[in-house]
Amino acid sequence: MDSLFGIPMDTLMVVFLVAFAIVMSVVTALALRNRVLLKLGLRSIPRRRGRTVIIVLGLMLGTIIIAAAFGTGDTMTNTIRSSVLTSLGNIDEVISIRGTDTGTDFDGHGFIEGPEDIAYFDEALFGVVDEAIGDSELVDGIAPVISEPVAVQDTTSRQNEPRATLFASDPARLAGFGEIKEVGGGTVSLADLGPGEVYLNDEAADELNASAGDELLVFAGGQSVPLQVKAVVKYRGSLTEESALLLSLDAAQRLLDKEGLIKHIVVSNRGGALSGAKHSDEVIEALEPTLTPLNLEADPTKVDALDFANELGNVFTSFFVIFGTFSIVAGIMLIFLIFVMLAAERKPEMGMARAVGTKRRHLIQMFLFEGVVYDLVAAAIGALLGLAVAYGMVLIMAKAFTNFGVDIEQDFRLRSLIVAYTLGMLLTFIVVTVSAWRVSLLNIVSAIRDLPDPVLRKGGRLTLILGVLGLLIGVLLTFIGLSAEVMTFFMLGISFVILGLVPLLRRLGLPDRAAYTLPGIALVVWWLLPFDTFDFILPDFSQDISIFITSGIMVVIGATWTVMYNSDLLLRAIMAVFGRVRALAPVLKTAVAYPLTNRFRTGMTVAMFSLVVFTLVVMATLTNAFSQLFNDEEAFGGGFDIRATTVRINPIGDIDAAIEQSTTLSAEDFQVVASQSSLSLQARQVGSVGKEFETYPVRGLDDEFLANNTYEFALMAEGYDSPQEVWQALADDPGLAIVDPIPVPRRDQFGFQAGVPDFELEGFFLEDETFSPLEIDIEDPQTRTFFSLTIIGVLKDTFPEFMLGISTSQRKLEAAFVDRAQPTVHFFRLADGTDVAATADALESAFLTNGMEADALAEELKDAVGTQITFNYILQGFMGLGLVVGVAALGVISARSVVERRQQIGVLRSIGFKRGMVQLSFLLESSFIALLGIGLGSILGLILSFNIIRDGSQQASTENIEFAVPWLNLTVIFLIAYGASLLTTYLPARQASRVYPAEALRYE
Amino acid sequence: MTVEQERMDDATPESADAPPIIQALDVVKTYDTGKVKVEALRGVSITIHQGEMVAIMGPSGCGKTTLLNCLSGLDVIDSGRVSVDGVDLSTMSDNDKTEYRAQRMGFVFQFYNLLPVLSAVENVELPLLVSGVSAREARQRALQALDQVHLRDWAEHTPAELSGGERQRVTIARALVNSPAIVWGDEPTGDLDSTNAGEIMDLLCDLNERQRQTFVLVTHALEVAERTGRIIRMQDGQIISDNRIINREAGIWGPAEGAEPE
Repeated sequence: MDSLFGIPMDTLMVVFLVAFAIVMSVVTALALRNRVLLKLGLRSIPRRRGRTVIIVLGLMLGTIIIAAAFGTGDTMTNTIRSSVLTSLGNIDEVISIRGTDTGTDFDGHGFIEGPEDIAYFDEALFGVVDEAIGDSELVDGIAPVISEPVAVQDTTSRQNEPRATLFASDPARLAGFGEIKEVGGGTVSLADLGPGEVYLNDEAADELNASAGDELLVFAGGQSVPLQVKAVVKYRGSLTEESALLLSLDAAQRLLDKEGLIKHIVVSNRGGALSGAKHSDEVIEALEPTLTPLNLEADPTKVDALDFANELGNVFTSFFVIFGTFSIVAGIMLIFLIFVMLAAERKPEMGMARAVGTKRRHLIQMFLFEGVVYDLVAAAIGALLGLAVAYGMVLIMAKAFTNFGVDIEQDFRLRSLIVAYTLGMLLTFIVVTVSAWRVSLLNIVSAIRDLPDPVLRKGGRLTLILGVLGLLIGVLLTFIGLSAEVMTFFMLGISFVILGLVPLLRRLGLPDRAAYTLPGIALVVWWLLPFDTFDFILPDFSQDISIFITSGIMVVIGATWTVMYNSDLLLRAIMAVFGRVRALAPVLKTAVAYPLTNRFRTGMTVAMFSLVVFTLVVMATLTNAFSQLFNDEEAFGGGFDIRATTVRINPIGDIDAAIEQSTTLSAEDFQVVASQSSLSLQARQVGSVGKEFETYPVRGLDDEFLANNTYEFALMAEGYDSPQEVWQALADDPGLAIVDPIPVPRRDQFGFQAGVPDFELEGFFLEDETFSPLEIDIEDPQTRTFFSLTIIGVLKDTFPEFMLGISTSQRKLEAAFVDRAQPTVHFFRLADGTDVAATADALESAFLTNGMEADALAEELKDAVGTQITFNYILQGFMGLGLVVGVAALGVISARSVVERRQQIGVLRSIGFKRGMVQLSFLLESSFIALLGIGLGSILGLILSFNIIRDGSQQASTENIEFAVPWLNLTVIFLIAYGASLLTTYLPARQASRVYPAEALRYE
Repeated sequence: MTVEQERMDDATPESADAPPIIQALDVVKTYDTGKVKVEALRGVSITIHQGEMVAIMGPSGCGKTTLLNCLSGLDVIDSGRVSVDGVDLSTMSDNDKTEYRAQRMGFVFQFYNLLPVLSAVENVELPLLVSGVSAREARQRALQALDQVHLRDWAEHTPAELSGGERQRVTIARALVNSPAIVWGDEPTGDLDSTNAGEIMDLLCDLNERQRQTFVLVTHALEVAERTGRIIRMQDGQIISDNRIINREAGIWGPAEGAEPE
């Protein structure tokens, strides 16, 4: 990853380091000037070790979350980077015929065969290019290459590999592209291969269970060629990270019947495999004058792939940082709570200090010195623990991604560590400073007597200013939201108006209960009303993930106020229900009365729990609902059971006839056999201003596919009422097409995507009910073939990856491109009772020479959903980390309560509370707070999730989404959090129960 | 006729004849702070009869609060023997002692020691709830107890909303609500002005008179002690005198049964 929310990590690192240096210089200077204050500030740290541990734990949570997010981002970047290097080695640019896809596009799962038929060109052109740049200081290698997917059979081991990459080059030119090393041996060369000999890379050897000396049959161009494995090798740069056969160029030309032709020229820039990429722009610029007249073009393949790696890393980091925001906010609340409670503990001491002449700034400094020490240690431990969390998350991810053949490569960059540490430290420092300032505002008399501070005068000027400010900000945000049609601003604006009412209502003389409860309820209702409540007067807002974060914070504020200012009702309700159990009544009474009386600390802790639980419930419920939505075989498979692809150099022209002729397949097993061709063309919406043609796949669907598929649409153009009508229209009119939803603009931007295509449509939104049919121009960059299509449908979001692109009828593509639009993808609906897996295997065997790879769509879906579910677990676990904040808060509160209530514990013991009862009372107190927070967060989260899912079900693209709460996951997470809360409270509770009454009563 | 006059005529002889409820024999209690050892009680022996109202007096640090704590089972003794109602406290487990306190004892402390988070009535009903009385009955009896101390109308107020005297009356209501056999008071008027202190003593004396409960009060105030029927003086962890009132009007006190004359 190289940036966070678009800001380069290098910039962040410099800014944070400078800020860190400034902060530390100021604090050090203050400490040196006031050594006594430093001494006073630091003396508490070693005194109460247990407390110090809890404080450090509380302070480090924000840093853990940030570091963990960075760790996953770095790992994802490194994973892709590693795949890139395996595939490309030292290759930086790939030169091909202009307009053709290079065949080396990176899709995040590895290098894929481009959907375009790759054109070969005269080998003599290599000489021209070599002459132009071969001696340049910019490059250290240039070589002619053939790279072609072929099917291979190992006749010795009797294993097949339907898709291996045949990589061939001139051994004399490969010097700058790294060494080919024999597994367990030394360096070898393509020049060492005798006639009929080939090297297998280790991946291919694994797949084929092959070893040196094995006989192979390579199927290419409709013929099978016998070859013998000379050795199993490791080579980075064979244009694939998977199975590959390595041949000399002339041997490959003969094998493929491409005498005198090559497919690519590969270029290695000066420098190493990674560092060379930075010269790509210069190399391409230098090549352009030579390539253009030759109708060739250079693709900065490695730079593009590395950019994708960074982009994906950035997406992961942003994703986890955003979803960690709630935990970070909760962490900030915890830091504030910790310092306010530390201050409460030292109140008489501070009052005395003030009375004898200590200034407020001295108190601030004392807290600051203490806080900075905690902060420095906590951020350091937090950053390291964040690494451990990231490591754990990535380990789980690695399992999930194995389905897609992705090997996760752990990584954490020093830069990320520095940014996580400094950011965590600075964030904590700010909160510590604000807390220190807040605690310095003590009333000297009440502090000395350890009495509560006098209540802020309700009618004071500050109250009025706060209220008016709230209203003004609110009105302004509402206005911005309405005019820009941005939901977050609008919702936040109204919320600020509601928040501003609190001080104003208090100033008007309303009792606190009413002044907080009414706006509190209003805030909750405002955010949790069904989304379409005000549709009749409000514009169609756009919204993004920020709405989720603000909604969480606002509903939790509203709900916490409401509960805390009506605690007596809650207490009565609890006593009415549980107070009937006589043994429990006295314990329960004190257990609930204490937290409900200490509104600030209880409110803060409840809010911490609620906030994290709220987000967990929303995320878990939504991801569960979406996983179930996508786990729809019909929506994924479109009514087909098997999808099979063949290699381009040996496609199956007539699949029906091929099945009929096959001796191993039975035509009766196949109910429907449909085919699809795909080409990488360029598209542009007609009438779009300032937009250029952009590369996008165009698919040709044969009549069988059009007549039998069951894919549905998020949007259908005016005049079309059902998916069948749309598909029929495509069959009837070759000028019509449909498109996947990715290029379509959305009002709701909740996605995190890397590698989004440049091709975009405009003028309508996916959330609309319909749209006017829109024209797009299609151009083939290779042949300049040009035609127009009319888009009449947009597939639902549940569309499978293999339907990505603009889909029209096969007849349209055949008419335009004749042989180039050969179907290479086949879909099979099987007769009832036919074994899908066995048939897929049989198809692969029957069409091995065509390099057929057949997959049961249900299995493919299962793998995809399985990965999604694992990812959901990781996300839930990551967000669940925030619950540690609540647990730590309870630990701090309990520890403080034991000290604070020592004498009261003595009284309780003297009037008959047994040890167990005192202990139970503390545990119940923590339970009450934890369960109140968990309950509140769950209810609020469930309501919001219900609204989101209801809203989704009203949109065609996600109309089948259903509200289903993953109770099991949530229960497990909550039980762990609750158990941890009890555990954290157990020690202080035990300590409280051990207090001897006489001793406690003597305590003043 | 004042309460004191009635006590002078009736209570004293009766109390003295009543069976002993608290007996301490050669009680020793030492506090070890690690650096120094403080001998708080040095072989204290005492017998208190049922229905007696006893004041324990002495200068600060003489061991009077420690004696009260040891007699009531709030603290453990190092040696000697304390029995309450004929039961040796050392044979009781911590839970047994706690249960015993809940059912048979009431406490009034100098600083009230009410739970600030509970209302007056909730504070008073707490010992009843601990003893397993139903919530409804506990509330009823708590209100009656508050009525007895003339605070019925302040039942729903929290301690912070009450004056010092009112808080102490709530404490007394809490101490008496479960009709304990013994009420312990540690400087019950120590934090009050003289008017409030007088009112509280009126209340305690009246309750002692009417309900015949045993009151053991630790105090350093002579005017408080003189309103009880027996004054035990302590110094340096030992009892130095033990006198019972003979004629309150005349201010005549004589050595208590078994005590050395002053």
